[in-house]
Parts: sequence; structure tokens; C-alpha cells
Amino acid sequence: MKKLLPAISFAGLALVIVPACLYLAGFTDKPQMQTLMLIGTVLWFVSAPLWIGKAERSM
Amino acid sequence: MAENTEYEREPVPAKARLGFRSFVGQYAGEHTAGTELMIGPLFVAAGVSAIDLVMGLLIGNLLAVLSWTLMTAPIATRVRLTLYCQLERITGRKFVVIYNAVNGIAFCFLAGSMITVSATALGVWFEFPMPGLNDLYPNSVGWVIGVLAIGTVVAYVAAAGYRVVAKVANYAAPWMVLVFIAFGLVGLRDFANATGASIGSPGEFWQLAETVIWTGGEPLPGQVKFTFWHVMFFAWFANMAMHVGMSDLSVFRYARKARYGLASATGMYLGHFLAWVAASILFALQLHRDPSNTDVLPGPLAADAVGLVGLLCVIVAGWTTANPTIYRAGLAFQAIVPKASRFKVTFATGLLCAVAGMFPAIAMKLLGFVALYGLILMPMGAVIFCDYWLMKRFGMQPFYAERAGKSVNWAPAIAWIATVAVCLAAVNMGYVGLYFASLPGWFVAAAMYLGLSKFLQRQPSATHGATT
Repeated sequence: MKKLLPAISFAGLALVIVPACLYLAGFTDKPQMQTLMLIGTVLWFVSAPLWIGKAERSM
Repeated sequence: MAENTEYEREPVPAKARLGFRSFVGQYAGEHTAGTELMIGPLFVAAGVSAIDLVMGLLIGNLLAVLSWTLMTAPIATRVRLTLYCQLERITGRKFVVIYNAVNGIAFCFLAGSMITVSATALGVWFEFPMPGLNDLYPNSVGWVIGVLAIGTVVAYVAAAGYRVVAKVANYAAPWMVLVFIAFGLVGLRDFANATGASIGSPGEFWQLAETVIWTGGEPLPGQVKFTFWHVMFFAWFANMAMHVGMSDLSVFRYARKARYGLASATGMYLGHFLAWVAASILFALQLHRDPSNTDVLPGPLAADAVGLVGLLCVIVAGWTTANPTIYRAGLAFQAIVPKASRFKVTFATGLLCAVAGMFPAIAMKLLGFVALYGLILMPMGAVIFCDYWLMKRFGMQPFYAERAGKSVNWAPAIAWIATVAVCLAAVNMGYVGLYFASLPGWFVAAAMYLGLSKFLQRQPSATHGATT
């Protein structure tokens, strides 16, 4: 879990920005881009609070 | 939460100090904000050119970071008091009550505009009528309810304390930054699709930027024409109250080292560069599609670009910016009534901000309002700077009100009021633009404070009760 949660979070962030890059490059359409960004957003906000706070407390 | 955990009236102890990363998150979150979606479009409305925008933002934001790092943080990490406690020691209890009221009200209006921005996202969801560029008053029941709903949540979180605010900002900041970048990328593709232009290389992008996005032509009716100098000074002084004006003493008193002021670069270059540029692209696209649609509504702009994520971003961005602003306003008001619960004061302040947010006039005139509130709060920053670094060198006593047991120290009081009066008069008479007046104003305030202090501290009665 210690490594899985950050991995999920960063995958979420990637899903926020990569589809926009693909859209800029013309490799995807807008609805698909928006769906992927939404999935990425959910992943980030569900997973990030589970490890970011703990990482700070252990510093 | 125990009342003494926020150290409103005492120096922040070593155990409560925060690391660099806390400030990175705080500044990135605070300055990648819903209001960026207002400011970016207003640059386009002001007819700025591409080169003026890019160079003005690069240099202006650098000056802002240096102001935090070299002016605010060094004093904050040496004294470790809130702005209000420090001012009380310099100006005296009675005067600081007036200053705190002005400061708190200014922050309330600013936070209100952030809540306004978030409410434009709710407007897309619930389809209630939203204000236009020239509206001054709320124009629908749905709008009032939407602003109140968001304002209540924001007020509660701000009241829960600085650490909660920092935590929320830390979670949201990386995501928000990426969504703002996505706004720009999507806007560019949509621009290319709308114009048939190619953006396959930096050269092609720059050509699109110069000829279609930031054309440097005439501003929209009722707007001031922006040049390089306007952009640079606006970027530098957009947060003048916080760096040169020293409001962020209250934030950096928690920093372990003064160099943590550099953390403000995350806010400046992600928020006040990338976010402003991205937002201006979206508005330029809106104007390109329909030149008659000059409404600056962040919710619809964001929704058109990236859908539901855009709407969430507008709400969260407004929220994370309003949080520390309400927190600062709460501190200002609590300094007036120090025995009152900080939670209750901050929560009530947040509700006041929500009421201000119902009136769209502030958000729609944000460029001018930001410059004005920076100008009004700037002179006390000059007073604090001079008091800490120069008073002893010039043979005078710092923290004079405290040392002399005075409830009002007239030197900073007169310096503040006279500087604001002189600057506003110069602006109204057309001698200097609103966006530029704060720079000479700082030197006017500093000179007046030092000169008046020299005079007043020489008075026989002035030395009564003073200690060295």
C-alpha cells in the first residue's frame, strides 16, 4: 500500500494532463479527453489524502 | 481546537514551524486560483500584445518573488508575529484597530470575488442567470443561493485553521496546476481548429499568438490599454499587500528559514504566468467565436474547455484561494477583538465575504481593485520595513508605541493616510496610472515615517516611558 497509493495518485495526475496533450496533438477527441480527465481527477482526490498527510507527519 | 495553536499573540515557537514544502503547496494553491480565470481574460480585453504579455509576466513575477524573499520573509522569520501584532507594537493599539478594519474589509472583498468565480461554475450546472461584464448587483435568486452555498463551506474550512488550509491546498494544488495547463492546451487546439492555423512548431504557435490571441490592438470598450509596463507592474503588484505590504508576515512566521520566500515562485510562475496565459487563451477563443460575447465567466469558459473537470477546478481554485484570504481577514478582525474566538471571527468573516461575493462588480473590475487594495495596504509595509531595518541605524526606537506606552503612534498613522491620499490624488489628476502609483508611494511612505518619527521621538514627552 505504501507504494501503491502514490502510484495511483500520480496515475491520476497523468490522466489529467496527458489527454489534454493528446488533444492538442490531434490524437483524441474532446469527449474522450474529458472522460479521461474526470477519471484522473477522481483517482487523485480519492488516493492523495490517504498518503500525503501521512508522509508529512512522518517527516 | 485549542485557541493558542495559531499563535495569534505570540511568536511562533520552533516546534510549530513548517518546512519548505508547506509553502510550495500553499503558494501554488493560492495563486493558481479561480481569479486567474478573471485576470487572464482581462489582459485580452485590455488589448495586450503577445511579447508585452510574456515579457511583462516573466519580469513582474520575478520582482514579486524577490519582494517576498527579500522583504517579507526575513522580517517574518526574525520576529515571528502576525502582521497585526507587529503593527500594534509600532503604531499603537488604537490606530491598528482602524488599519485592521481596512485590511480585513479589503481581504473580504478579495475573497468575495473568489467566491464569485466559484459560483460561476455552479451556474453552469444549475443554469441560473449569471452576471455580465458590466453588472454591479446580483441578478438572480439562483446566483445568490449559489454564492451563499459555496461561501458557507469556504468560511467553515478557513475557520478550522491554517494547518487545515495548508493541507487542503496541498491536495488540490498539483491537480489544479495541471488542469490550468490543460485549459491552455485545449484552448490552443480549439484555436487552431477555429482558424485553420498550424501549431506544429514554436514558430507557428508564436505566429498564432501574435496575430490572433494577443494581437496588441485596441482594448475592448471601457478597458485601459495594457503595455509591457502595465503587465509588469500588475504582475509585480498583484499581491502587493502580501509581500511589500507585509501581510504575509502572518504566513512566513511559520517558516523555518527566510529563503522559503522563494516558494512563492510556484504561485507566481504556475498561477500568475501559466494560468493567466491559459485563461486568456480561452477568453480570446470566446471572442474569436463571438466578438459580441465579452462576458468573463470562468465557469462556462472552463466547462467549454475540459467539461466537468473544468467546473470542479473553478470551484476548488476559488475555494483554495479564498481560504487563506479569509484566514488573513479573520486575523485582521481578531486583532480588533483579541478575546473573541478565532473560529467564530473567521467563520463570520467568511460569511461576510460570501455576501460581498454576491455583488459581481468586484470580480468584473478585478484588475483595478487588486491594484487599489495593494496601494491602500502598501504604506504599512514600508513602515514595518523601515521600523525593523532602519530605525536603530537612524538613532530612533523601533516598536515605538510599545516602548513608549502610546496607544497611537502618529508617525506611521500620518505616513499611511498621507501616502494613500497623495497616491490617489496623483492617480485622479492623471499624473500617474493606478497600476504604477504604488512604487513611488512606497518611498513616500518610508520617507514620511522616518521623518515624522525623527520629529516625534525628539519631543520631550515622547521619551517618557520609553526604554532602549
